[in-house]
Amino acid sequence: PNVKLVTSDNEEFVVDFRIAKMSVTVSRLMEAMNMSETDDASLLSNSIPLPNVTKAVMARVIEWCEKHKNDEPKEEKENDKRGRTTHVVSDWDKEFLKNDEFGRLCQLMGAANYLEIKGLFNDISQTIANMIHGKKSDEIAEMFNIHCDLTEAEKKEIRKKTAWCED
Amino acid sequence: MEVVVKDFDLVRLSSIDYFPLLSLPEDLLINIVESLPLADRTQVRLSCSLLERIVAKADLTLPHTYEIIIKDGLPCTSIFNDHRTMHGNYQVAAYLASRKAIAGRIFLSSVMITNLDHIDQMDHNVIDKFIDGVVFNNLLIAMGASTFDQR
Repeated sequence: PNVKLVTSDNEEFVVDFRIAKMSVTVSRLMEAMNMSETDDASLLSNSIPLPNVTKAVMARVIEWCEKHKNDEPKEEKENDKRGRTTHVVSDWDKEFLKNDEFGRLCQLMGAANYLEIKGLFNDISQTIANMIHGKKSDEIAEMFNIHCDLTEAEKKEIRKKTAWCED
Repeated sequence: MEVVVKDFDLVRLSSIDYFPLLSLPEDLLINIVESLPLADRTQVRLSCSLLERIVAKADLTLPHTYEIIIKDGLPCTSIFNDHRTMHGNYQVAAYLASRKAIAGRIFLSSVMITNLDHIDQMDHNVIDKFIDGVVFNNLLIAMGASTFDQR
């Protein structure tokens, strides 16, 4: 069975029921609209509006979901001993996300968050974290086009506060 | 009706196209930061005031395990299982002071005093100084791999 999803720019995507269910948001909406896998009429007569996702971003989301539709649910590790959450991005996902310029990656992250697709969300979050890893503050600012508005005194204070974790 | 756009909102809105990272909602930025090791977080904090505020906030919610290792009766302290030399004492003091400055209090999941070869040699005053003002769930005093005392 197929489900119709309608984006903010009024584009209709027809996706497999399993793919639609990968989004917690879409699942909840289908439930609210009494749409079920065994009731073709309910699926045909309804479409799910997704006002926070554009056509271009939705296409990428569906591409990711197609690849992961048969995945077993993954258990995320909580905080490790250094106080960070860890998520391993698979080679396929690395390659998939490499194709998006940074602005699109942020839009995709926003969409994954709105649609509640945890795997995609964690992949993007970890990918951005990997981009930051090992970089100095000026390199981070340059990479993300950030204007540093901190004074030298404020920077000195931050360094002082965080000296304990800088070996 | 005239709508006045505040400077902060104007900067925030105009940044969306040019600064995609900063245009992400705060909870998403926190999620990214939480995937970073501590040294990287410092560099993110140093990149601009918005990220400084967000990382500081994310760090407050981190559960930390604080371990004190006793060597020759003195705490040879480590944070996050980094086994350090006595130099670690200074770092722990700086760490506690910085967290106190930000949070007003420190919450740590546990304080562990471990590797006690000779319990009698433990300098209680030094230990008290370390954990004074620290809120924690457990104080574990361990000898080798087995728990010696818990309160």
